[in-house]
Amino acid sequence: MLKILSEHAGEFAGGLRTTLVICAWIWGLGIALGTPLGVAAGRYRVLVGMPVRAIGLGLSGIPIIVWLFWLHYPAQYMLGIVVDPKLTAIVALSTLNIFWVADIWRRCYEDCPMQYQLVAKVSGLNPGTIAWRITLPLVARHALPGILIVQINMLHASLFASFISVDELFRAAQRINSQIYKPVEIYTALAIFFLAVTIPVYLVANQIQKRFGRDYSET
Amino acid sequence: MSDVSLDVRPGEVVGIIGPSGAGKSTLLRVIAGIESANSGQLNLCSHLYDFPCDPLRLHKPWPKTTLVFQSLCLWPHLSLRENVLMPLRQQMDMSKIERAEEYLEMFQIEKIGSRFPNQVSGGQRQLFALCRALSLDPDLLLLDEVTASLDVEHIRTLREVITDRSKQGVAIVFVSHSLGFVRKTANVVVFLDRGEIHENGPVSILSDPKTDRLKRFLFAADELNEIE
Repeated sequence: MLKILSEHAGEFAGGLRTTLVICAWIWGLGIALGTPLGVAAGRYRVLVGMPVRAIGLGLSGIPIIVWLFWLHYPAQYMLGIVVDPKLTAIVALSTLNIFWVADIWRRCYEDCPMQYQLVAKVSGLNPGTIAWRITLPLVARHALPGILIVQINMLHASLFASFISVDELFRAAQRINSQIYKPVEIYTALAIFFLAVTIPVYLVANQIQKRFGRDYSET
Repeated sequence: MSDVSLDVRPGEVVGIIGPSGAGKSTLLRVIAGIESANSGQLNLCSHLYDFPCDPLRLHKPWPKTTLVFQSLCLWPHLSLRENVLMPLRQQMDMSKIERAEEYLEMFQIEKIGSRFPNQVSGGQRQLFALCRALSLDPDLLLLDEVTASLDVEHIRTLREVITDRSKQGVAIVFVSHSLGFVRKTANVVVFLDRGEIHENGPVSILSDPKTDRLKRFLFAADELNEIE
């Protein structure tokens, strides 16, 4: 396996780089846009919350690969445009991530006991302080585990980008395998690459959990 | 609640008693401006709230009017000391922070301030919630069942603090199931049942009730005292 890895290091590295670039966009956009959207959905349940829920439900009902293919072929055909498949993959998966992250924030916001905010109000705290020092830490504690699992799932879903010709890690592995046919070694190497990305994400997740996820239960 | 009318003056200590579900906590929440009534008026520290309205969106009465909730509601992610000091830091009033430290010492809880709410007893949590409200230096202090988890010595300290605050002109309205605490602390007693005030007046109404409903309530309390 090491021999294959060293011989095809450039191709594996190129695939890994593409996978990481796609994931960085998906994670960044999903969290940066999904968080305010989810908080707004929790706060304004009818105006923002219901559309977010409806869109999130609709997107969850469509298999990722169908959504990806639809954006890559019929959508571009109907609009008369040709978009780089990498960009299509980023748009498709980021859209899913934004609405899934938003839905997690919305649910956790709605579940956050109102009493804590009422106490803050009668204690004279201003709305900004209530949001930043009270609501956000309490909601984040519940939201973070779910959000981190979704991010891992998005990493795995980035494999589907290979089906629309994005030269990411899985496609690189397939190409190398078609040349030398060593599926055990190549796909084991692929699994190790994914573990190498997933384990640091899990470690970061654990650190964040330790920082924000202290046990609050009362005896 | 219906036909509830209550007049609380500066320095007055009002004790609200009544059976569970009588509307005592609801009354406190309406007075605190965090719950709206269908009709009526609330004149709070020279500001008139005309119901039905949402007081949260109007002139905010807090923290000059503040409430200690029955369910405590200390923020679980902050240390106990931070629970007390955070509202004061926003006001940037050092004298209030010093006063908060004094209250913590008075209730002998200053040494556990670095712990979190789930790491101390219910009574200790109650004391921190009280310290937070007292440190805000309110004109109207509302206390909902604050003696529920306190031991006798802390109840005594609380009585002293309430007496001291009322002498400073702070109006205090509290809900309690402890008739002994009401007798020794309140100037005025209000008996509430099913959302209506059945009887109110000086503490002497507890010795000489006029209405049958209050008589029955006090009889049940006396029976319980005998058993104890």
